[in-house]
Amino acid sequence: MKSPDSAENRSRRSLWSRFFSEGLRPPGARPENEFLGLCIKCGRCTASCPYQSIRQSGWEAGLAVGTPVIHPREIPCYLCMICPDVCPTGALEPVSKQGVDMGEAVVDTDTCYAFLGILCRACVDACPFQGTAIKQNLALEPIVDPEFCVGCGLCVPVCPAEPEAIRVIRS
Amino acid sequence: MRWGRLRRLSQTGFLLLFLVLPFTYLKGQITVMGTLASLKIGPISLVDPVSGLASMIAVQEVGWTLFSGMVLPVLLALILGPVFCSWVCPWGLLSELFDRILRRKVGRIPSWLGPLRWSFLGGVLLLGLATGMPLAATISAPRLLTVLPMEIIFLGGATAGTLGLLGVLLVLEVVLPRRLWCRALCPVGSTLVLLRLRKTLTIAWSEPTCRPELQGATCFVKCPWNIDPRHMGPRDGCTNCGTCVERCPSGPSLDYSFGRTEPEPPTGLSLPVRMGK
Repeated sequence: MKSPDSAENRSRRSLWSRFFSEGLRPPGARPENEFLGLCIKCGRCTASCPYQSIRQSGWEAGLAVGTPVIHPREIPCYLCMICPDVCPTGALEPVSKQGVDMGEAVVDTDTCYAFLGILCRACVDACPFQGTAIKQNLALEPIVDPEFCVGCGLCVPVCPAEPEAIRVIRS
Repeated sequence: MRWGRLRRLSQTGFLLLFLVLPFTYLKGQITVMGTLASLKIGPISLVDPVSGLASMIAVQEVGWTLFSGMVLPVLLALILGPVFCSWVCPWGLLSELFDRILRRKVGRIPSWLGPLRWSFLGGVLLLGLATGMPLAATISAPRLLTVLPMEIIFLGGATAGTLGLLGVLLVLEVVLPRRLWCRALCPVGSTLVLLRLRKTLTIAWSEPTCRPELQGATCFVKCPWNIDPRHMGPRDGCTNCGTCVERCPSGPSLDYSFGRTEPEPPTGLSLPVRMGK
């Protein structure tokens, strides 16, 4: 079995998400239809991100080409909350970390190691809201609480399953 | 005044700025950042007027943040005219370069250019309203050309979207008549031309000193936009680049002026008098 972090896997992963994954909007984004109307694709959020998490969407986004997206499989959002402040149009609005709603993490119980009986708590440890957004049940399986999960995706790249057993669905 | 040299200096300066900025983002510098769609200089936010307008039309709502960013660029255009096009925009520089490489000939501005300009601008804004997206911002050449270095240097690779749109513009630039994108189709430029008022900086022509018999109408031939500064209307698309002022063989007959009402040569920005020998 190939290591999940092998160069081959990484490039395949990044290609996949570059062309086929929808990606998440940066933190503080207005509802999608308002976001699409407001965003002038100036790239200020992209430039302000110290982690280079925010990319520019390509043609898969159709007319929304050039709008900012985050692919947690490549680089998740570290919730530093810089980008909402630099948006000139109000497409991103300042919010608290807890108030962010980029999406919701979903665990695939068929491939998650913990659900298969292998001891693993990588996603639980990576979660910035550990104990609220992702909890372990009595069987030590990770359970996401949609009410507290902000969709930052920090749990995604640390998942050792291949492909990741946890992913973020855009809200 | 060597307006041509100053203008090249300004154009290349802005081009260099947007090539250097992405390197500074890598070091965490975000005091000065952005592109020509929107630029942040410390606490000041500057937004391209047509991108902001398209955004407002798309959501049918006027946001305060967005509006405040548009104020300074609009004021600049109201006072100095569409100098953004000739002194700042890197696509303008590229377009002028193409003109030189392709050795394009000077011709009169076709009569359909004006109607094309306004119907294209209106069409793009209406399409933005229909789709709920600021399409004028999407196809802005200065935006694309300043986003590109950020993608390559800061993100490590250009996106198919930016490259594709720039490719389309380049093909239009080569295939269509001389500088058609710049002169008639670019929504950024059209909006700035629309902002010209009666007292906006313009090129004033003083007929008594004009002596085209000396070297022919140099002003018209040298104009990078094919405009005849002697007989132009406020919406003909003059960007105040100053080429005609510098190249005028009869010295003071063309000069920058705020408004073109006063018949006497303007003071302040006027050139030293160089009458015939």
